[in-house]
Amino acid sequence: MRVLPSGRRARVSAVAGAALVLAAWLVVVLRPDASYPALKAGCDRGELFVAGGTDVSLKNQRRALIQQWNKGHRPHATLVEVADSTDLQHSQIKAVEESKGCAYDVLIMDNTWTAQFADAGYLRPLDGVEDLDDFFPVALRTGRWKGKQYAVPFNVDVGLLYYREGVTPPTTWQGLLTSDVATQLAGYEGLTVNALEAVWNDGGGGVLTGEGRPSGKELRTKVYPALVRLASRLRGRLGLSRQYKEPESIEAFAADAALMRNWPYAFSALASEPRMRDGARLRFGVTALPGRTVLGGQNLAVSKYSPRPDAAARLVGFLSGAQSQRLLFACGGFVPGRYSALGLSPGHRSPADVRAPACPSRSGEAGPPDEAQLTGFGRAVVTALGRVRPRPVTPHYSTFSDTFRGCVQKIFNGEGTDAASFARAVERSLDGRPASC
Amino acid sequence: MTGPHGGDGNRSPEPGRPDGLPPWLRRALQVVILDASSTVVVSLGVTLVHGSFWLNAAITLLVVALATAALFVFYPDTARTALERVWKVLRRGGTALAWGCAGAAAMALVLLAGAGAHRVWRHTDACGQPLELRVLTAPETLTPLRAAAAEFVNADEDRGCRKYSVTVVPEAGPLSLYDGFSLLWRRSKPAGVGRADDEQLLGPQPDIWLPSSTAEYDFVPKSPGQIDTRNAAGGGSPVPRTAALAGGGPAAGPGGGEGDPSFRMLGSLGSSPLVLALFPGAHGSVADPSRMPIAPDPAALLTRIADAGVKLRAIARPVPETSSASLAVAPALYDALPGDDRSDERFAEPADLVASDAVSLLCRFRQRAAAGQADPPDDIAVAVPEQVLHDYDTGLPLGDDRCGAVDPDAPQSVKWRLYPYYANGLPTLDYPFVQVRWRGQDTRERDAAVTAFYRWLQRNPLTLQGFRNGEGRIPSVREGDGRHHYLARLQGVMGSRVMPDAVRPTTPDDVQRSLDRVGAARPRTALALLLDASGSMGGAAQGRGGSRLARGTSFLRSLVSQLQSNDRVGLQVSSSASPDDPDLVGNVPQEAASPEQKNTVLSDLQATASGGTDRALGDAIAAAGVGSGRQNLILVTDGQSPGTNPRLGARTAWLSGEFRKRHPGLRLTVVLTGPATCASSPVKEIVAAFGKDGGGCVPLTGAPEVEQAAALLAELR
Repeated sequence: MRVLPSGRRARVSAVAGAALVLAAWLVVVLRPDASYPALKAGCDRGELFVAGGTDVSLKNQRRALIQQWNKGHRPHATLVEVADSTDLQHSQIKAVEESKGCAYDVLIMDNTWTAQFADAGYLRPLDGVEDLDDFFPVALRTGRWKGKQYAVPFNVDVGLLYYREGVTPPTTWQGLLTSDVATQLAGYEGLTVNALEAVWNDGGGGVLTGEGRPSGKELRTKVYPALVRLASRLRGRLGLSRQYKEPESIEAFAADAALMRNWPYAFSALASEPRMRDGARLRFGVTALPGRTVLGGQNLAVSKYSPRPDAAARLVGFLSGAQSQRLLFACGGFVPGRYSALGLSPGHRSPADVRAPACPSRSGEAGPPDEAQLTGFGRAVVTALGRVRPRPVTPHYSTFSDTFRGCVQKIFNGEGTDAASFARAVERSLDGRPASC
Repeated sequence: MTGPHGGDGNRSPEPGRPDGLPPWLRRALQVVILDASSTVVVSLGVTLVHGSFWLNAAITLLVVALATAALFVFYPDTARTALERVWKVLRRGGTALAWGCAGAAAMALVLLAGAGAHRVWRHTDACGQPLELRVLTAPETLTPLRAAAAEFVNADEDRGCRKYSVTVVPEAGPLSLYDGFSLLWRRSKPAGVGRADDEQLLGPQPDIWLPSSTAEYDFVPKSPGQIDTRNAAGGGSPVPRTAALAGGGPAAGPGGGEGDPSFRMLGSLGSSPLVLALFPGAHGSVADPSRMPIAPDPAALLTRIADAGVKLRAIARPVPETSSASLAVAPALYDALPGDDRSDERFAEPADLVASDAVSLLCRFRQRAAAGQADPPDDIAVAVPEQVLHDYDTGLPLGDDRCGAVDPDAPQSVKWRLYPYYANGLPTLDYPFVQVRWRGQDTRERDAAVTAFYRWLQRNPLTLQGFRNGEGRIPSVREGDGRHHYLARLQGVMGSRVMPDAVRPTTPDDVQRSLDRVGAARPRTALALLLDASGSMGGAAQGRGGSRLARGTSFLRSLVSQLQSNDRVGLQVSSSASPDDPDLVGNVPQEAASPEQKNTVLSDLQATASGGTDRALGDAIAAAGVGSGRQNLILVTDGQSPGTNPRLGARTAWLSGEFRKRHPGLRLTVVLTGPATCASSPVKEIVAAFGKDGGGCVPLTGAPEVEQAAALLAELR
């Protein structure tokens, strides 16, 4: 039986048959789609739009920075405040970017979005940002993806330990968990953050952080047991914390809790709380958490579809510049992304070197925190910055966080989640495949 | 086809038939007719099945097989001739054809192997990004739609990866929607000619909007160019009356009438009638299995309740300006209740149960139950959509994570259960699916995703989540389906004499007409807003993030958004900062709360920044431009301190004396952002200077601002 064509006619026939199928396949694959009558936007505009969340800085400092830019720079910039909730900000900005919309030039993003947005091609690499050495290196790294710098820090968040007057803060993680501490264990991103801190400080240091992928064994033998141990300690205030987000934990601390784990913004909020003040004196202190803490915060990036990318990059430079960062810290209550904003300089970057600048305010404005209180707060922040770890860096962070959180809740509820199914679900989620434990 | 000629199996047409056509032409015509018929049938099948490959293939195969069989049965000679010719050709070029087929098969195998390898590689690779869909709906519909969206997202997975992610957010009522869609989803537009430094959105711009009713959809202003009629499912007037009222609307874009956004209304996803619900005590008296479960009209229903000895103190209903469902039921209640609209309105909005939407209202009952409050108020009837009552009674979460799930069979839940009562004439909400396309965000992929969600909802309608179908019937439970929330299950608990199988749908009134009627029924209110913008307002709000000024302006925004055009509003910003300080804006003279006036106030609120030292509260009040007649001065402040309010005694004496004489109809309400409380000085003394009836103090709480604003507005009216 012949298996290969012999003779010219047979060969031509075979080649023609093959060519016909290949041509048909190419037509199917490469045929142009019928045109879609999209509503197109006019991108030929002379101004810049900065998209972010609601400005919750004190004295509306973010708006004030935009106003400063508009007074001394061109083109005119407008801050677009999308929503209070981070999830809703993400929804709007992602929808615009995946539509290749030119609505926004500069994006204020949660630092966990960088990998997702850069990987999807929504961002332009940032070149020429001045004085990169002045940024906290760990914060600057959250703006990097596959070796390129796509974003720079706008403000930084670290977990801090607040303690009431007369309470000695614990110096170990185990000591913290056995204390009267209010934290955030309700079913939202705060639970992911707190669970990661519990893992990192209880045998899982180095797992589920940064770009490194955990092995199934690490998830089974380091992460899962740490979460089970945390679940066994959910009594008293820690048990009540399963109902707490940030505001509820602040309320619990202002009411009677001895300790609270929270972000830096809680400092200003508590300083304004009559129960936590005695005249100008604060009735609470703040220090770094005893152990590793999650690095939060927001980054600035330039949209790939900005019609004015160069001007947008200049605006990013302005907003992340030393002067703007100083104002954000001193007046806006945000932790800056730069050493110099805390009065630190090369060679003098220890917590003791912190000198908090005063807010250059109009005459007569008063109220806590004062300069000394702000300096003490800045020292706690710098100490904590030495212990921070980023959350897992993956384009699928939200899928990971949803899955991880769901598993943690099941472990807390004692719903029979085993180590193997936990590891399998978390591994899948890091690739964007949702799973449940 | 020319048709069969008998049943003997020898049906080929005889040559030289009286039609006079030559045989070749007749056969050609037969083939054309056969092909055309097959094409029509295949096309119909494919259109109906919507591209499910195996089904399309099966339909095509079936049609072709039938056509071939028909050819052989009715025209055997033709078929035989065709087959012989084919065979001759095959014999002549058989070898070449065989090699051609072999080559084609080899190439097909190579391509298939390549595609298979690519698929395997993709399976091991990370997922791509799911496409983000933004969905806007009424707060009442949040729970069922989120459940449906989660199912859709999971059902549409591709190799374990999600194709879509869906974010469902609640709307803030018809007035907010009217402004939002008119202003490209901004809260306000800059009042001046200059460009703004800051804009605020109402949240994500929705790709899908699920209004409560077609009437609500019609209310939103649209130019003709904004209405997309592709496959629209009818309903909704092409040029709504309200668009004319809006003067074309600011949404008309630069594209020669092609406005932004574009709306495409598809079909209804289910229906839900408005009901009056009673707590168990009252239900025990009113329930009568011998009576029809649907009263002839709302008045008859109220009579039935009264005849049973239940004396209603009020009908609790959300604020109509912030709840489309409540607005829909308002005219029916006015018509049913004795007395004029004004007294009916007072009866329908009890001061202790003011809520911005139905979930907030029912959430309050659930919280009271959870707090162990002994008895529910049997003298209250609740007017809400049946669907949200279903969620309440079956223990589902209510709204935006404020009210979590509860055990519906727990004694306290049973004690606080609400029993629905029906009447012809109470409107039915029809929940149309509306696609919204925004300029610059409109892509083929987004359009396809919206269509995919709509088609999924057609296959998995909201009748799986507590809704009735479009005809007002309770659908039966799908066999073996234990995970969905069918209304039939609640009916099983309540009984069909309480929850009827079918409720004849009643279309709600035009929204603008209802708003006008509610507005006329309410005492008009004149608000002079006085915002403390001194430097201390830039400080942190008590116990939470953001500044006090942001908190205060957010509250005032909600308040202004709820005003109707027969109300009046003005704004003044108080601070010791220099009047020419460009960071300080404000001072909008009081005028009727038209959309333009509201926009001016909102725009100034948005642009207000804190600065300067405290201006003594007494001085700020004295300088406020308050009109004559019955006026409400709303002072939003952090409470300041005694240090910045020197000579307080003299100031309060002047306020209680001369100032009060000058403004006898003035009522002061101090709204506190904290940290000061209503008992702190100088707030306490200032409020006291206005007397018990002339002054009040309200601290802002952790409740949503829209709810707090609604409560204050109800109190002021």
